[in-house]
Amino acid sequence: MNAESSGPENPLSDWSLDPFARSTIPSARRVREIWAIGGGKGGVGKSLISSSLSMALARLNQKVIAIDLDLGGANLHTTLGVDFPQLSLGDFISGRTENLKDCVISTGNPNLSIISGAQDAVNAAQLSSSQKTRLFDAFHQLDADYLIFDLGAGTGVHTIDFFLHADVGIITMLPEPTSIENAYRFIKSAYFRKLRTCPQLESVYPLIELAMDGKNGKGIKTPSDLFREVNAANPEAGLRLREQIARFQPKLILNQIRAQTDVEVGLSVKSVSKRYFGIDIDYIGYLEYETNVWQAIRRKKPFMVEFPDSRIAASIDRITNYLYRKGSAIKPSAL
Amino acid sequence: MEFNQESSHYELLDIAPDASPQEIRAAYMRARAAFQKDSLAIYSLMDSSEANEMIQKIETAYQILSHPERKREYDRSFLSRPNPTQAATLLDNPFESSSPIENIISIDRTPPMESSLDEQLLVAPALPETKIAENQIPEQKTIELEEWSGPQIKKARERLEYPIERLMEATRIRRSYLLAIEGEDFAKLPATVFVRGFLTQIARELKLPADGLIRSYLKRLEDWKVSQSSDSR
Repeated sequence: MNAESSGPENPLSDWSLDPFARSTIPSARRVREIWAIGGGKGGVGKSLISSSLSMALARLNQKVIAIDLDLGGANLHTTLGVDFPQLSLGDFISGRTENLKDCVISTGNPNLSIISGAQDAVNAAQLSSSQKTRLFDAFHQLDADYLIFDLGAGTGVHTIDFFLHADVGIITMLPEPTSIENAYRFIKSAYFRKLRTCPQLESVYPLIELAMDGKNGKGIKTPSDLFREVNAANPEAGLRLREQIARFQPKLILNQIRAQTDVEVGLSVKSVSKRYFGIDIDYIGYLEYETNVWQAIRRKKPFMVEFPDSRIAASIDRITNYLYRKGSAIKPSAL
Repeated sequence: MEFNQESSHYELLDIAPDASPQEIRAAYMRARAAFQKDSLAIYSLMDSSEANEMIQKIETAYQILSHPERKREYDRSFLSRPNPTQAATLLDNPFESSSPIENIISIDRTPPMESSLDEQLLVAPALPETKIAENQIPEQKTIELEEWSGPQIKKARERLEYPIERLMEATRIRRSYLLAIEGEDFAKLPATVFVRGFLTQIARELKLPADGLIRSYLKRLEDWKVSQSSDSR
C-alpha cells in the first residue's frame, strides 16, 4: 500500500460513503467538469462516443483528457488511434508510478490526451476505497479542463461509482431490447447506489437495501414503492430521498439509429423513466447508423477526423456544444 | 411521478397546468407510445398488467384534460390541492434557491426571529378584528404547553372568529383536509409530509406556536397509524 493513501480511516470522510465527495480542498480542483459515458452493455459505443465527444470538446479549445476506466478491458486508445502506452492507469493504481500525470499520453490531436486503462483485471478488482480516493484526487488535479470517463460494461460497483462521481453522466443505448434491459439495470444500480451512499438517508438504508433486492417481502418493486415506505418510516428522510432523486439526472444518447421509430425509443425511455423511477433523463441526442463511418471505425480511424461532414460527426458536435454550454452556464465560478 | 397516491393528471402526462391543447395531445401520444404493449422502453421494467394500468391512467388523464369543461372542473379541484406545484417543482428544480422544501417543512427551519415573533403574537394576536381580553392571555399561554389535538386547533380558530372558508383561502388547503385535521379524521389525510406542511400554514395563519402544535399533532397521527397497523395484523 502506498504511503500517500494511508492515514486514519474516518468513516465519515471515507469516500466509499460518499462518492460525490470532491477533493477536500475545493480550490485544488483544476478540472472543470467530468463527463462519464456508461450504459451497461458492451458494444453500444461507449468508447466510440467517449473518444468523439473528447475530440469535439478539444476543438472547442478545451483541454481534454479521455480516461479509460474500463478496468480490465481497455480499448479507448484504439478508438483514438493510439497504441497501448507504456504507462497506464493500472500502473498508477498498483503504485508502480506515483504520479498520474506520467500516464497522460498525447493523441496527436491538439488539446486532447488520453490515460489508458488497466490491462489486467487483477488491479481493478483490488481497487480499495482509499485507492479510489487517491485516484479521484489525482483526477481532479490533472492539467485539463475536462475529463471524459469511458466506463466499462456491466454494473460493477467501481463502474457505478465512477459514473456517479462525474458531473455529467451519459448513458449510451441501442434501440434493442438487450441494450435497453442493461441500460435500465445500470440506471437502477446507479440510482440505488446513490441513495445508499447518501449520509442523510442513513436512517432508511435498511429499506433501500430491501428495495435493491427485487424479491423483498415488503412489496417494494419500484422506486415509488420505496418512496412510500421511506416516507411512512421517516417523513424527513422522504424529503431527502426526493432531493437525491431530483439530483440524479442522467443524460441519454441513442446509438445506431436506423429509423424514425428508433429515435422515438429515446423519448419513450425518458417518459417511462420519469414515471417509473421519478428521474428526469435528458435525452441529448442520437447517432445514425452510417455504413461508411462504421467501416472507418473498423479501420481504427477516428470518424471525427475521417468523416468530419458525416451526420454522426454533426450530432456529436451538437451534443458536445449543448453539454459544454450547459456546464459553463451552471458553473461560471469554477474557473 | 406517483410519489404520493394522488399524482395529478398533469404530472402523469408530464406537462404544466397551463399547457395548450396541442401540447396536451402531444404529451398524451408520447405517453401512450411509451407504455403501449410493444414498446421497447418498458422492456424488463414493467409487466403487461403494470403497463396496462399506466395506459388506463393516461387515458383517463387525457379524457379529462382534452375536454374543456371537464378540464375546468378538474383544475378547480387541482388548484386547491395541497402543494401540487411544490411537489412538482421539488422534483424538477432541486437547485432553486427558494427551495419549496423550506415551505413544506419550515417548522424545522424557521429562523429564530420568526418563531419568537410567533410566540409574541400568541400573546397579543395581530389580527385586528380579534378582541382578546387581558385575562385570556394566561389561558392561551397554557395552550402552548399542552398537547395539541384537532379539536383544540378548531377551538383556537373559533376563538379567533376565523371562519374555515377564510382559512381555506389563506392557506390554499382543501376544505376536506382542513376538516379532517380538525376532526382528526386521520384516514382522510394525505402523506405526513403534506400534513406537516398544512399544520405549518395553519399555525402561521392562526398565530399558533408551530413547533409544539406540529410535534404533538404528528405524534397523535403517528399513534393512530401504529394502532391502525397493529389492528390490521
